[in-house]
This record gives sequence, C-alpha cells and structure tokens, in this order.
Amino acid sequence: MKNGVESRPQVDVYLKDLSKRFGDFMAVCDLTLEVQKGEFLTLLGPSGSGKTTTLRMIGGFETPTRGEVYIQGDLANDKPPNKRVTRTVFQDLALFPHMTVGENIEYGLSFQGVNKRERKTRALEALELVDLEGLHERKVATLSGGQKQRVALARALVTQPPILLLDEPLGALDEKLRERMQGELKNLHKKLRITFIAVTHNQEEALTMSDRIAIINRGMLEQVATPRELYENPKTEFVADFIGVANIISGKIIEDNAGVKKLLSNGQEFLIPSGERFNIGDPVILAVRPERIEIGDKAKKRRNCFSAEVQNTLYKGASVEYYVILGNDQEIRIRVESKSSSADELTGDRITIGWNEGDTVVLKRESE
Amino acid sequence: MGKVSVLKRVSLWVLTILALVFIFLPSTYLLVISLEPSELERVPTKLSDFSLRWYIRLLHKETLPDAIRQSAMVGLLTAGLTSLFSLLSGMAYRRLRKKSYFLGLLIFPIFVPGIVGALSLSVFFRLIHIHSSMYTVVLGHVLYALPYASIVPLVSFSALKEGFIEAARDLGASGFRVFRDIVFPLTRGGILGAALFGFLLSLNEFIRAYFLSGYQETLSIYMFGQMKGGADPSIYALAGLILSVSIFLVLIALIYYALIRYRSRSFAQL
Repeated sequence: MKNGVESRPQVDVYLKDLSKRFGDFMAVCDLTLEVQKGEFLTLLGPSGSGKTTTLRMIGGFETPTRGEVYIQGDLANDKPPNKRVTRTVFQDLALFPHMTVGENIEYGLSFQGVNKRERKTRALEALELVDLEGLHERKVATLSGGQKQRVALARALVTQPPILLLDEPLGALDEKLRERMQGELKNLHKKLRITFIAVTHNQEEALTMSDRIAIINRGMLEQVATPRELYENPKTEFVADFIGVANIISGKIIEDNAGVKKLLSNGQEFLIPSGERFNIGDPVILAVRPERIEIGDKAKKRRNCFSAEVQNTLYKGASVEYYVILGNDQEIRIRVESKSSSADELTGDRITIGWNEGDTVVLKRESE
Repeated sequence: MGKVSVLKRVSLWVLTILALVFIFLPSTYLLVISLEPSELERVPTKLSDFSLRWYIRLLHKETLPDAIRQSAMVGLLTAGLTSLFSLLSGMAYRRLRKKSYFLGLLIFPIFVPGIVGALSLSVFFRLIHIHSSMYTVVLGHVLYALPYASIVPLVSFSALKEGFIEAARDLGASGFRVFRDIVFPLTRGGILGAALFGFLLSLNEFIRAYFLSGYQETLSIYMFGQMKGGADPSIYALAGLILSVSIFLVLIALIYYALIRYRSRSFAQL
C-alpha cells in the first residue's frame, strides 16, 4: 500500500475519488487530484461548483462522504482541523474580535509550545512579511478590509505551515486592491516556497497567480493544467468556455468528398485540425479564440475563410472587438489589436474573416 | 396641522408620565412611610421626623438574619445553575436548525401560573420522596428564572460566529481551549446577565419558596408571616431595604446588558 500516489514525496495533498453529499445534493463527485509540493494550485469554478467544499475537506471542516484525503502521505479523513498541518485563510477572515492584531497572530503559536517572548517576536516578523509593521497592538475592529486580509494571512503563516489553504482570498476587496494583492500573494508564495491551494470563481485571478489550475464544475474535475495549457488546449467544452472567451461552433462530424473530416454546422462546413479522433456523426463543438481570427486580406490566406457581416464594433482601449455573423447565422466574436491596420469601425460592412484549423480545438459536445 | 401633532405629543407624554407614576408610586410610598418613626402608617409630617428607627430595629430581629442568609444562598445557587443552563442552551441554540421551536420550549414555563408551578413541583417532589429543603426551593427558582434568564445570553451567542470557532480549530485549538479562548470571552457578559437575572428573580420570589421550603424560611416567606401576624413598621423598613437592593442590582444588570449590546454591535461589523 506504500506505493500509492500519496506516498510520493513531492505530492503534498492527494484527493482520491473524493465525494461529498449534503442530503440529496452531491456537492463533490469522485474528485481525484494531486497537489505538488510547493506549487500554487487554484480550484476554479462557478459558484456552487463544489470547490469550497473540496477545500474544506482538505482543511478538515467537512468529512468526505466517500473517498480519501491524503496530506503529506498520511490519510487525513478522520483528523480534525487542529491535528492537520494545513492552515486556512477563511473567506470571511474570522479574525477574533476580542483580541488585538498581535494576539490574533500569536494564537496558533500557543499550541506549538512557543513561549511568550518568542511568540511576540515571530508575530512581529509575520507582520513585516505582510507589510503591516506597527499594528501589533491594534484592535481588529479598527482595521481596513485590506489590512484585515493581511492579518488573516499573517495569522496562518506565522505557524509555518507546509500547506496554506485560501478560500476566496481576494473576494472582499475592491478591484484596485485585488489586483495589487494578486501580485503580493504570488510574491509571498515565491518567497515562502510552500504549497498554496486557493479557491476562486474569478478566472483572471486564477490565471494570474497559479502554477496550475483545477477547473471544477458541478462537483467534478474538468481539467487540471497550467493556465496556458488550459487556454490553448481545453479538454472539455466547459473549460473552453470558462477560461477566456471562445467562439463555440456546434455541429457534427462529416466527411467530405475527398475523405477529409469536417465540422458541419447549420449548413456551413468548417475545416478541423487533423488527427482529431472523432467519428462521423459525433456531436461536437469547435472552439476558436477571438484573437486567432484574422480579417481582411490576411483572412483570405487562411484555410477556414468566410464572408461575414459586421454587426457591432466595440472599442476596448487596447483592442477592438467585432461581432460578426456568418452565412449560417453563426455569431463570431473577433478581437483585433487597436494598433493593427485592420482595426477600423466596420459596422454594417461585409468583410472576410478566417482562421487556420490548427488554432482551434474540437471537443465533445456537452450542452444541448 | 401643527396643532394636531402637538396634541398627540402632549397626550403621549401625559400617558407616559401616568404610567411611570403608577409603576413607581406604590414602592416610593412604601419607602417613604418606612422612614416614619411612629407606629402609624403615614408619610412623615415634618422633615425632621424622617428617621431610620425601624431600620435599626431590624437588626434586633432574631429570625431575620437566618431568613436573609437563606434567601441569599438560594439566590446564589439559583444564579449559578441558571447561568450554567443558559450557557448550555445558548450553545445548543447556535447549532439547532429549528431555532424557533427551541426558543418556544425555553419560554414555555412563563405561561404556567406561579401557583400551579409551585404546587405541581411540591407534589412531584413528594412523589419521588424528596423532602422540602433549600435545594427544592433552588430547583423551583431555577425553573422559574430560566425562561427569562436564557434570553439574555442569546444576543452574545449570535455574535459568536461559527467562523471564529473554525478559525480557532484550524490554528490548533480543541474543545477546552476553544471554549476558554473564544466562546467564553465573547459570551461571558451574557452569562453574567443571566446569573444576575436568576439571583434577582429568586430573591423576590414567594409562591414557589412558600410551597417548597423546608425548615428554614426565605426572606419573602418571613415577610409574609410578619404581615399576617400584624407586626411593627419594621416590616416596611425591610421592604424598603429589599427594594433598594433590587433597584441597585437591576441597574447593574442594565448597564452590563447595554455594554454587551455595544460590544456585540461593533463585533458584528467585522
């Protein structure tokens, strides 16, 4: 039994067939996931997808209905939170209101046999780490949202945990502050070199901070990979649609006269990447990113080339977006950099658009 | 338009003052006549007449100190048990889903008339062969005070978010430490309030004490006996004394309650 995934030294957390049921509702369903030591992994998904429940099972605040949680090689299912080496930064922060900032931070150390003087020293160090020197004696109620956030971080980190769990760490912050904190969290992770497991529904946040992202939808793992891999090679329709923006063309596989497999959607044929292992008649979707589509002269050189009518031109500062419609009533979204020669107001015009099939993915169709 | 609202405001004030007078006049009258030195039941005629004669006479009453001691002990025991039970019910209340049913159960004894409650307890104790004593009185008083006292800590307990307990456990705390470091500091104001309530209600309670007392009578039973037996005006002095102590304790309870509310409100913003 010692040869399982969980006993590999570089696997800090291993979830095996993890499931959690609340009454009739399956919040998490047969989730299997490895978290590598020292990586920043984010559980990303829409609200209610089960990502927070999963994180809570790692922290010990929920008991799995089925499956196993391994932390640093040991089975942790029955271990209460106070016996686990994980530390959690909660979504609502949960700073103790009747204690000062210093007392909050030092609390965890009182269970590690650290004496009073050293607790204070380490608390001051932790405050420095999160850029909050001088706030040791302050009452928690007097802090701003961003400051409270950092105190919660310091409180968890001062005990030097090997694994830090973060539940929507930046949810309560306003946009400017959130962007700054994303960078700071990433730096903190690089500096401490411990394992971070975060939960968020904000894909931009996940893409910015994570080494790898696990996309979770309806309690199940869709795909886990690096941000780039997820963006360029989504493995399911959900991932293609959730990460970034994608044009989704729905149809089925056909074979043309020359024996080449294509996608047929509403009467229009699309060339698909070679090597796709679908069979004729399979219901599929084609996903193509807006920035991979050319317009005008460049489009004519592409192997998927169509005439389209521009319905809308949106100026977005750094880029321009065109909403066009093809002959088969397919709506396509195209993004062009503002500085490019083809970034003009084109609403109402008929233009040529095109892309190479290599810039697309074909996936099994999941939606109706 | 202005005339109508002035009329409304004035009549509201008049009603308020009348109500307050109605509430406070009898007790105030009692206090005043207790300071009349003669054996007549009247308000002292001259300012120079005000005297503490009957208060001093209280010191010579033989059975009085025992009755006071008994009431105090019963009160303290009631306070202790009431605060313990309200702590437990507060913790249970947080976890329950059918909170309103629980609250209803807790409040229910209020609707049992005092004499019915007292009588049924007395009969019940006889049934299970428990003799009347100080402890039976305490039990009766705890049952009496619990519905009122339990409400007081509920405010504190709602300020105790489950998140605090989870955070404490995440950092390494278990059972006792969670209670000592998190639950108790945040709820102790409410628990103290419950204790104070229990003490106060017990001190002034008559009917249950009367039915459940053993050999030693409580203060209220003593006073009842004195009234029946046609005693001297020192009874008014005793009443005045109890009134003063009660008012004092109520003030403390109110201040404490206000402090809890103030603290809970600022915690709730976190």
